[in-house]
Formats: sequence, structure tokens, C-alpha cells
Amino acid sequence: MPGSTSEVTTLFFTSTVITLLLVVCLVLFVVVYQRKLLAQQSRLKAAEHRYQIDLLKSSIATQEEERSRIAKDLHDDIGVTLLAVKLHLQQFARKVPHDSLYQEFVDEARKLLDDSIHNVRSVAANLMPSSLEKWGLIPALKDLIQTISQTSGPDIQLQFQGEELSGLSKETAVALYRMVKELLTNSLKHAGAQIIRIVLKQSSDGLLLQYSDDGKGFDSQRKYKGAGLRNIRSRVLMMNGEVRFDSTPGEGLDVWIHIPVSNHIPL
Amino acid sequence: MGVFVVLLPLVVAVFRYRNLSGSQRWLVLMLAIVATNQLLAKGLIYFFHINNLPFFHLYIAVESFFLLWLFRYELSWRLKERWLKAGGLIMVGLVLINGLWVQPFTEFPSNIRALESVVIIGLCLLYFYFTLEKLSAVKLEQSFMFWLSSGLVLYFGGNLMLFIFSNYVGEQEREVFIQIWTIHSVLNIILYTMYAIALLCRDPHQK
Repeated sequence: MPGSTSEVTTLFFTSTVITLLLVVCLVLFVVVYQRKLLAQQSRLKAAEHRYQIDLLKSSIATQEEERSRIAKDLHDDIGVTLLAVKLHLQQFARKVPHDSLYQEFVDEARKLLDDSIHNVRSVAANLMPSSLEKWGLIPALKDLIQTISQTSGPDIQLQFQGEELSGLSKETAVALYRMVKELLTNSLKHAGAQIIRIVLKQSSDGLLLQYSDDGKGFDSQRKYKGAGLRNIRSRVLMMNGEVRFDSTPGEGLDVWIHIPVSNHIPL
Repeated sequence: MGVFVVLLPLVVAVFRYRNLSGSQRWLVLMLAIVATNQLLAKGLIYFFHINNLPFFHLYIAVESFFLLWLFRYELSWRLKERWLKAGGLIMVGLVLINGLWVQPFTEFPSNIRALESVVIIGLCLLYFYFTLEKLSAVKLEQSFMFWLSSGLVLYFGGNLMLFIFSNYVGEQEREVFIQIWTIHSVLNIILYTMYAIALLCRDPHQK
């Protein structure tokens, strides 16, 4: 048949080319599919991470709201009631003869009331220090350090570098306060530190908190089970910040916390 | 060799039968019928020297019906089931019409084979498109439909020109005829190997 060999060859060639093209298309399909799958998995992971952060923020916000409410109730309700009782007692004391048996009872009652009023104020301050709400972070930290220094005796130094702390949201201030308090508690209760340094630096890209003590330290490379340091990590994570613990047994503790400036936003 | 390659997926099916999904069992049924059909066709030509092309018409009817019903299972979340069910029955009808009025049963059914190729390729491409959209299979290499569709698209795609011009090729010299149909044999082996791999895939819904 004229031309039949070339036609057969063309047919053979065409079939081979089509087959090879199909193989290439299949390979491309697999590659594109795997890429899309990876992208989808990344998106899911990011969404899960965002959800965890939101959950954490919500949980901490609720906790702080509750603490604030309880502190207010303690101070405004129970505290005021106890003061009223004290005033009534003082009035009663004026009517009782000075050397009578009742006087001893009144003195004892007054002492108990004073202790109760002090305890209520102390609990309320622990839950939500009024100086933090009224005056801000630095005054609240100064009050805290003064209270601790009066009872325990370590040398605690607070330094603030930079301009006056501005644009700091209440939630960030509370979080920083709680973190410093947690670190101080650890240094005093567990590490037995005698010298503690706290430095706060504000710059254009955020806030830096540096904490160091001369306590007995711990192995920061190992996973620690203490809830305190985990809480600090959670709070820093919630603010999209970074935290680093640097400690070795017998060498004290260094903590470095950076909160980016964009995160001075309310929860 | 092309005759015996159909045994490969059947052997796999025998070992894995209990763990096969519904779609996989449907494929096994198709392969069992195809194997029987091929055995009878070979027997007819070997022992009685009679034209066995009618068995090829039957083979096309069985294959297109079963494959369309299999795709009905797997693509029911995107395509209406009744279209594919109807498609399977229509293909069987078209094989009959083609054999009775267009290309006799004793002739190679190039028209219907080409049509079947186009339909199957189309369904496979739809499967690939829907899969890319949905990203349903986490491990593509363990997906039954991936291996099945890949095998079908390679076989029918690679042989499409051959099926269209099969009667022309049949008029050529024997050597040329054999060379051309070697493409078909190779693709046939690839197809049945992929059937076997597809039957090895575990159903993701089975424990």
C-alpha cells in the first residue's frame, strides 16, 4: 500500500507520544496534589494554633476578670463591713470602763478585726493590686518589691530604661506583673536567692523584661514540671512574645522576655 | 503474555478478598468475567480455529458496564449516580447496535472501542479533577481509585489511536501488525498490574 509504512510509523509514534504525555501528566498530578495537600495541612495547623491562642487568651482574660471582681468584692464589701464592725467596737469601747473585764474582750476583738482587715486587704491585693489599676505597672512593681523586701530581706533591684511606659494595655500590664510576681515567688521559695535584678526596657519594637537571680538554679534544658514557669510561657505566648530561661544548677537564673509592641492590645 | 496478565490481579484478589471494599469487589467480579471470556476466546481459536472476535464485543460490553458502575460508586458525591448507571446500560446497548448494524460481531469493533476509550478517559480525568479539588486522599499511593484511574487513562489514552485505526492496521503485513499491537500488549500489562496494585490498597474506612 503506498505510504502505508509511513502511516503505520506515524500511528506508532503518535501512540507512544500520547502515552508518554499521559505519564508526564500523571506525575504532574501527583506533585500538584501533594503540594496542595501540604498547603492544606499547613493552613489547618495554623488555624489550630490560632484557636489554641484564642482559647488561652479567653481563659486568662476570664481568670483576670474573676480575680478583679473578687478583689473588688473583698475590698468594697467585706473590707468595708469589717471596718464598720471595728468602728462600732471602738464606740462600744469608749462606753466600757477602762479596767473592766469587757476591756480585755474589746482589745482582743479589735486585734482580731485588725488582722482580718489586713488579711482581706492582702488577699485583695494579691488577686488584683489596686496600684496596678490606678497607677500602672512600675508603681505596682515597686509596691510589690517593697512588700517582699520588708518580710524576706533579699536585695531586689528594679530598673526601668526608656521613656515612660506608654500604650501599655491593662492586660499586658497585668500579665507582666503576674510574671514578675511568679518569678519573685520562685526565687524566694525555691531558689533561696539573695540578689534579684529586674530590668524593664521599652523600645520601638516592644518591651523587654530581663530578670536574674543568684539562687540555686535548675537545668533549663530539661522540661520542668512547675506550673509557675509554664504559666509564664502561656502568658508570653498569648501576647505573641518570646521567652527564654537560662539556668544551670548552682548558677542562678536568667530570664529574657520580649513582648512585641504590636501586642499592646486589649484581649 | 497478555492473556496471563489478567491472572495477576485475580491472584491478589484471592488473598485479599476479605479485606476488599465494595468497589474493589466490583472490579474483581469484572476481572473474573473478563478472564473467563478471554479463556473461552482463546479456546475457541486454539481448538476450533473459529473467529473469536464476538468475544471481544462481549468483553467491551462487560468492561464498560462494570467500569461505569464502579465510577458510579466512587464519584457519586459529585456526579449523579443515575447518569453513570444509565451510561453503563447505554454502552451495552451501543455494543449490540454496533455489532448488529454497523460493524459485525466478526469484525474488530473499532468504533465502540474508541467511544469506550473516550468515555473512560473522560471519567478518569473527572476523578483526577475532583480529587485535586477535594484533597480527600491523604496518601495517594494507597488510594484504590488513583491506581485504577491511572491504569485506565494510560491504557485507553495510549491505545486510542490504535483502536481508531485498528481495522486499517489489521490490513497490514503480519510483522507490522504485531509491532503495532505490541504497544497494546505493553499497555495491557501496565493496566492489569495497576489493577493488582489497586486491589492491594486498603479501604480507608475499614479498620
